[in-house]
Amino acid sequence: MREWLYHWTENLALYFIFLSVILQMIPDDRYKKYVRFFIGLLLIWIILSPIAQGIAQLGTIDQTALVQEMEDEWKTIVDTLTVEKG
Amino acid sequence: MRGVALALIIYMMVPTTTLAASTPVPTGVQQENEQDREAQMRRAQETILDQMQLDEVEQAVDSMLGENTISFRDLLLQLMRGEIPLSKKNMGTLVSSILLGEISGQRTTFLQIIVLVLLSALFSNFTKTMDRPQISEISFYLFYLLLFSLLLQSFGSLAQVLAETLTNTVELMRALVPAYYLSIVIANGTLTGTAYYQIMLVVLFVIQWLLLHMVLPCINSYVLLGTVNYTATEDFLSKFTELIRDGIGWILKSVVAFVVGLRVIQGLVAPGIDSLKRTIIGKTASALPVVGNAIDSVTETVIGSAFVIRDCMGAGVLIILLLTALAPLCRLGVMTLMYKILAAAMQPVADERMAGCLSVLGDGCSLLLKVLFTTELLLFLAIAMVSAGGVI
Repeated sequence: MREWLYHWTENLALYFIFLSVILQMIPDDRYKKYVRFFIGLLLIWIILSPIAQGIAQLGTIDQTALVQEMEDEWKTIVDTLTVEKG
Repeated sequence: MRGVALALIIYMMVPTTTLAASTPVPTGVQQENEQDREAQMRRAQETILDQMQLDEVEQAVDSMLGENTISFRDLLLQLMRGEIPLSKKNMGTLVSSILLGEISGQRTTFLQIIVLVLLSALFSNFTKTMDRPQISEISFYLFYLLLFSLLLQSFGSLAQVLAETLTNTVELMRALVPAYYLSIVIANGTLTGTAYYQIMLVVLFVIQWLLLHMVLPCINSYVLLGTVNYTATEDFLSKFTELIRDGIGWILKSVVAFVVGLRVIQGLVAPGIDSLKRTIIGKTASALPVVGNAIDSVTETVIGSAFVIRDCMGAGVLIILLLTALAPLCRLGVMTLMYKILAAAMQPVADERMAGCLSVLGDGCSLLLKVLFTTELLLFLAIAMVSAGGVI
């Protein structure tokens, strides 16, 4: 989960720096609004694609990585405490 | 089972004077009996403490606060004597030394930030006089990227401090929970002890999984996206970063409400059932001819001692938690304040986006502070509600 979140944020940040460079490089202000519109569409796609993927996967996969991770964490805590308590 | 075994050991250890004390005595001897009783209480307390196996706790405390700084057992004994180990003067000195240390440690970073912001303002104003406005934008962009890397580095170290504090706190609680559980079982009974155990399990799970693995990365993402947003002249991501910030706030509030609710429900049922069981056993035992009074008196001594230990242990854990969280709390508090002050002070001269970036950093630090507060609050609630809620 954490790796996925970092990966996604990294992609978004890199894309955003890239788009700001592109916006700086446009020589004529007349084209700027069209480029910005196109960039905005790409940004929406980047932000929404993981959410769309998650919704699509919800129906098909029973045990997601998230639930597995939660269960592992819970088991670790219970095991540690039970060993110490016993 | 350990609780029952321990109670048996203490029963065997209580000397025969208790039997004598339970029979009617002249009033002149009553004072001596009182002293005997206090001595017995003390002996019972020390026996229970010896059985608690506090070595792991001592190790955890040493690893968090440094070797030979504070001994948990000594702290408990001090509390049992009715002394409060934290004096106002000591705390004041500790807090002020941490604050001053943090401010002097971060002075270079803040000076660099101020210089960068001022230089950027100077350059962009000069370049605005030229024919091509793009030069001004590019000079701002370069300075902004420098500031961006500097701020992210500083924030990364703060997030690391928080992650280490949370991990250490969980480790400390893992070492403490079995000993504290034992003291609750002796004082309140198995049902209350188990209820406490479950609540502690939930709290540790919440801290480890939710706060450390979910909320902390979200805060990092918030700061990264919030600062990156200001690289472009247009505002693209402000609503998105607001959404992340609000989401983190909701998670933190819900977690506190959930744990408090769970604890209240358990607190309503468990102590009542335990007290009923104990009353039935106690009354039956005291009804026995000849030894009944003695059993009653010994039970009172053991349970009284266990109550003292449970409460002192609760207080001791709270003090240790307070001491371990003090340095990161001060550090995060100072950094939040400094970034907010920098943003406010630089606003008249600097570009709006530079001030906004500093403000985002301040918000990020305050979110880290909130996470630490929530962690401490959850643990305080879990411990304080057991200590305050156990009526027999």
